[in-house]
Amino acid sequence: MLRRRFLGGLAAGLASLAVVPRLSRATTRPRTPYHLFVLLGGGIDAILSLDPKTRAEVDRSVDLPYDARSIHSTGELAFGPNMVSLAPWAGRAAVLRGVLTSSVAHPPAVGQLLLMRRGIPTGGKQVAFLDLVAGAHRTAQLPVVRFGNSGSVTPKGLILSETVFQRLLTLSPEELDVVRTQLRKQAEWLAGSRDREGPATASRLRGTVEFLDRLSALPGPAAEAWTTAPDAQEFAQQLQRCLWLFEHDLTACALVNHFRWDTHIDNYEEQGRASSALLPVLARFVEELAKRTNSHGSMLDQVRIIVASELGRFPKLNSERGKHHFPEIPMLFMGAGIPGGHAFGRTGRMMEALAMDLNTGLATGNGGSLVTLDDVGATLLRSVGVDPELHGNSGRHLPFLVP
Amino acid sequence: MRRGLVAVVCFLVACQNHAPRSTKPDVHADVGPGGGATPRSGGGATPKIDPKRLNEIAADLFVLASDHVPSGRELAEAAGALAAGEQELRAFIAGLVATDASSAFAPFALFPWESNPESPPQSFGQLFFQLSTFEQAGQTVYFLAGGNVVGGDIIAGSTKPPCSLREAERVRPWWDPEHEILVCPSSHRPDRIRAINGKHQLCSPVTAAFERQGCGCGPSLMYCIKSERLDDIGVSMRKEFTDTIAWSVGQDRPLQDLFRGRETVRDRWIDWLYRRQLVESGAPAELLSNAGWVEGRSPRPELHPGAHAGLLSSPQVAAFGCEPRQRLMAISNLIWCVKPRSVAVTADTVFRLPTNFRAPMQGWQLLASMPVCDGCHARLDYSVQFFEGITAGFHYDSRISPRPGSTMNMYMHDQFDLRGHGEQTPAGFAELAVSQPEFGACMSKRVAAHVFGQHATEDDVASLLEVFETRPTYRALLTSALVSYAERRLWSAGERGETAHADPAAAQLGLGALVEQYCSDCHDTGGPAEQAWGSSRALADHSAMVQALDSIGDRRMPPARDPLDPAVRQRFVALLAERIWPDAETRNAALDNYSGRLNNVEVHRRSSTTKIIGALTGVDLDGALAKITPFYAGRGRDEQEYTPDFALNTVIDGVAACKLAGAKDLADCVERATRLDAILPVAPR
Repeated sequence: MLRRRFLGGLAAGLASLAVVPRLSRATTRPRTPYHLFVLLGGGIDAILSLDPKTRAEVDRSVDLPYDARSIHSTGELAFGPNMVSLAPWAGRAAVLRGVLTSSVAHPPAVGQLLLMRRGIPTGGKQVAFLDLVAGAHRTAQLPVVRFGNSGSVTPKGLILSETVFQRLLTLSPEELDVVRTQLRKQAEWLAGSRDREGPATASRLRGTVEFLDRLSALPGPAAEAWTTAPDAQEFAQQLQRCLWLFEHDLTACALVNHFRWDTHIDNYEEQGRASSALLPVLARFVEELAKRTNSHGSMLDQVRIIVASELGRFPKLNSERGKHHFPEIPMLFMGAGIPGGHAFGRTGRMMEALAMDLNTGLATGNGGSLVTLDDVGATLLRSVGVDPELHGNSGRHLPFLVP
Repeated sequence: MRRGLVAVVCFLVACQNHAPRSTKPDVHADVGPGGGATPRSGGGATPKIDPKRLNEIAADLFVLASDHVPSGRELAEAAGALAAGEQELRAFIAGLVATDASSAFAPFALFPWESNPESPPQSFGQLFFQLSTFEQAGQTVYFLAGGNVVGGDIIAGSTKPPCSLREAERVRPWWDPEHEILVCPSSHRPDRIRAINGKHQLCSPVTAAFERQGCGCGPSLMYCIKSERLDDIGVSMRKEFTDTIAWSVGQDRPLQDLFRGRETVRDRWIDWLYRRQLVESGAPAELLSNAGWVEGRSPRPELHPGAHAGLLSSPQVAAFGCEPRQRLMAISNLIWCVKPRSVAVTADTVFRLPTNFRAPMQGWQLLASMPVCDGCHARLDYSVQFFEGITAGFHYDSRISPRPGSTMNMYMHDQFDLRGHGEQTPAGFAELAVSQPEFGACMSKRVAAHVFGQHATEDDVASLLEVFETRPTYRALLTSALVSYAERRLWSAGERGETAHADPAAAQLGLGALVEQYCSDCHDTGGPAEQAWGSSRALADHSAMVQALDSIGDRRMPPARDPLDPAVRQRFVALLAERIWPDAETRNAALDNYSGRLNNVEVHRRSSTTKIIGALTGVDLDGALAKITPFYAGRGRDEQEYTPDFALNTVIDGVAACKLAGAKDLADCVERATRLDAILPVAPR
């Protein structure tokens, strides 16, 4: 029965091939990794986390509330005091410093981070970066699962995990079967449409049916105690669910957003409070990925983690010991396809981005370019076989980031 | 009803054998075989309209006018009006729009985000401190947990009570003056409205470290509230906003009146919030227990002449942001549809900000005059000055209140776009604000978005703006939009109802000429936009062409003020794609992405969808389902898509409705209750 269901879903998925985003002209490519996008909403402070500095490296006006002993260095990588919990995974992590987001207001900045492109006013029909990755993942479009609020950009393949999971739990097996059947009928109805939106929606509904097929055959995710911090329990539960979703191939992409880092008051204390509660949970997630395997090998080799804030923090303190916004960010990449142990890009004495060689990611004496969010988005899309230009992203390729 | 409807009724006599006459809501009930109508307006030979489609259009009119699912009889009347001709259709729609239900729905149609019933405004937490309690000897003692204010939240409060039962004082709180409660003395401090060490700061929750400054809850506990009452205040705040709009729409008042004057429709709790401001300004604390409120629409207590500007001076709008600029961002979106862009900001720009720019609004004049920054800050920061004195938590702080008689400039797009000069009060701002062309354009855009959804065009907005200029009321705009919507769907060959345009001359232009005609006015000026994409280099630069194709294909360019004929847009995109990708397969793939291939179909709002499902199953789902999440409740029709999440929720709603209805065959019932032709506003072709 289960096999039949699975095959049914697969067949439906194959039928939906026409609306999966077109791939690039590359002929062969490796299995597309699962993607977890962790949005550290509000703006994590680079100097406290992914771009730590010593006093000699920065201008005296830059706030540097720790000494060099608080920096955890592993080869090229250096983690600031607030990111130290991820230091054990430095061998699987790469940091890109000084990425231009060109925005200092949360709503547009969140929107463009989810698009992985700058300068696009949100509110239109934009297709989120994770939708494009999910489309490349397989022939059927499994939903993009979202935990927390993602602002104005809504993935087209969205499932709001908290509410839908809760509602699905209330259904009996018979009722769940009715839901699946009706979604399948709706997909059939839409698939025959001449309007382009109809087949696209049908494809996503088929993916949703497949999601339900697989979900109904599984016991729910077990809750584990990953942290004792009260304000990190929700994050822990969300990451456990992401792990479960990936392990059971229920989704290709998940988005987790916690708006905790907007520290206009008491920057050091509040950044520390948020990071010390949540980032150890992320480290535990990576540890669990490394421990687990499936038929394709280690889960850590199959899940790509992108960690970033929508905007950065101004290097100087304000009168309330907080920090305002900054249009540049550091980004952390871990897991599948990421060249671990490397730090790319460089920032200057005021934490400003410096030019780099876009082929190597190394600093240049003179010449080179500043790296932008568009470049990162274009590179990640190419790595999963999606041609970014076909979706309006003219960002440059960064071969060092995903070789 | 009206003369137009007489014609409708007469028409119905002719088709009564076909039209269902049930009073039970019956979404998209068939008019019946042969009931197809031939529209008479327009003259000449007209196509016969499929009765099913007639019903679908009719049902949509009810949902769009008043979020109401029509009964079979109502549907038949509407279908008759649709088929009868333009005059009858207009009269029928005017009747729909003139109902109380339509007025009540107006705030949610016009301002979905601001009217969101499921989400309190951002700085709601700054209105009050929430009291903690402890129990001793069977008695409840209230105390202030303290802590610090960060954004809209109070954090790191102590949970240890500062007194014992024996030390507690008896207080009559503002929310229940008939009954005394016990409060710790340090949490009470009835003599203290302002802090002693804080340069006369208020003791309100907008003051950091309030405990250290000797603050408590103040007289009648004016700065505090019992946690269980807080949600009620949130509901009342939102209701003042929505009820005032509904009242004004019900009177067919100009939309400008929403943002002018002292009157609102509010309950006693919101009236109390206005009186609290008077006490904060120095009026006797007795005002806190003075019940001066009258039911219905009435003038609000006023701090000074000009302190009120319709909804702009309401607590709901004040709480839209934790700090002044955030509030003005929300106001800019509310009345002008201007959203923060914040693009092309560089580190260098940020470093050039004034060195004393450390606290909110410090150095604002300099920020508002800096290139790039002025694109937002000239508008926001000058506008903020009109509202100074009222904090995010709806407190009155005289330290930052403008001097009587002060005046202020108002800017729109940048520091060079001075729009006027007015009295530095909320009323002074409102007079300037509603007289800007952006106000009418915004109201027109909001109505167009509500009616036409994602398919609203610049032409739709322009047509409504013409209506606004002669009759600036919601009813006039909605009537006009619904008539256009119905006629377009009736007359278009495709269900989508897109109108074809023709600009034969432009449709023949080559790529270079199109760039010259539609891009160079802005992009060859040497201004900031030139740096992003200049027409002089556009056709030689691969990356610039990709960006151009994306912005034109996605309808972001040319800007709305200079609308592009759809046929010309199509040609423009095709020619750009041809230049970028000589390979046909790749080119077609790119063009596909701008044709909706990656999008979902539109769907009615979640609230409407549940109503439709309820109607189709014959049950009232209002109280039966869990609340619709804020994610959906704050979105207008133009933002609704049939995502997997929406679909799952819809079908699960269907299961719930069918179970409530006692359906014997659950699968059959769910299939009927969640038919896509009923819950999608426009069925795909």
